[in-house]
Amino acid sequence: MQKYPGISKIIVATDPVLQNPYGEFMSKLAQKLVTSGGYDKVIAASSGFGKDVMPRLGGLLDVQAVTDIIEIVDGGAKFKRPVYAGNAIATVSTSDTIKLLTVRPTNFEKAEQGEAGNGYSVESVDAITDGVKGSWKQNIVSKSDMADLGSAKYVVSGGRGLKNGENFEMLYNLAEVMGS
Amino acid sequence: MKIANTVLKRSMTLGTSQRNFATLVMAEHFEGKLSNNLGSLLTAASHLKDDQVDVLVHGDNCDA
Repeated sequence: MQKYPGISKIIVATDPVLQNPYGEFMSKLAQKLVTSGGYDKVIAASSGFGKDVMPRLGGLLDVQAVTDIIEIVDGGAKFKRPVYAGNAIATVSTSDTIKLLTVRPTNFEKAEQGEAGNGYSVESVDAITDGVKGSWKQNIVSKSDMADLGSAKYVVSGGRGLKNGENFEMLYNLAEVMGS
Repeated sequence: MKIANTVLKRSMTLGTSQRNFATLVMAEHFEGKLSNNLGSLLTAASHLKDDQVDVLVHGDNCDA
């Protein structure tokens, strides 16, 4: 992680209950950091993790998250997000003091990693377990050699034009070549 | 009345402490690996133009 540029501080929360990304623990921890650290923006990916944590955090802070952001406009004053199943793009803003944001990672180029050990400060925090009623049981992850649909750079799809199932093999080959 | 209650609830929830222009990035960490999404999240965070960008990492026996 220390290879990434642009990081001011790394906050490490180490606890056996945090071994798996369960939203109830993470949202309480994030709430504590936001209220004590004075953060006015919290950002996560539009992944299963982000979709688990952000609504809970929004409930704890009583603010509305802006989700599925594909573009940040005017330094965070406005956000673009797809609506109507992606058939239109809405530009939205929020008047909340604290902005909770989930972004679609594929719409933002990955930051280039630099040299390791750039001297970021590291802070440790404890997990918050008080009042947590749920618990993590298991992750059921589908096994596939293909990229995850939510984070894939390219998505190859086929339909009726391929006529039969055997012809889908061509799509699989194309997807493999494209790295989909 | 409903609006007043909402405002009161928010002030109680958020406290009166000063808000900074700072971004907290929530990294995904599972089975000892950071998600590939982190690079994209940091790019998105850079578009928010904050001087302070902190990353929260969670796990068991993990370090920075």
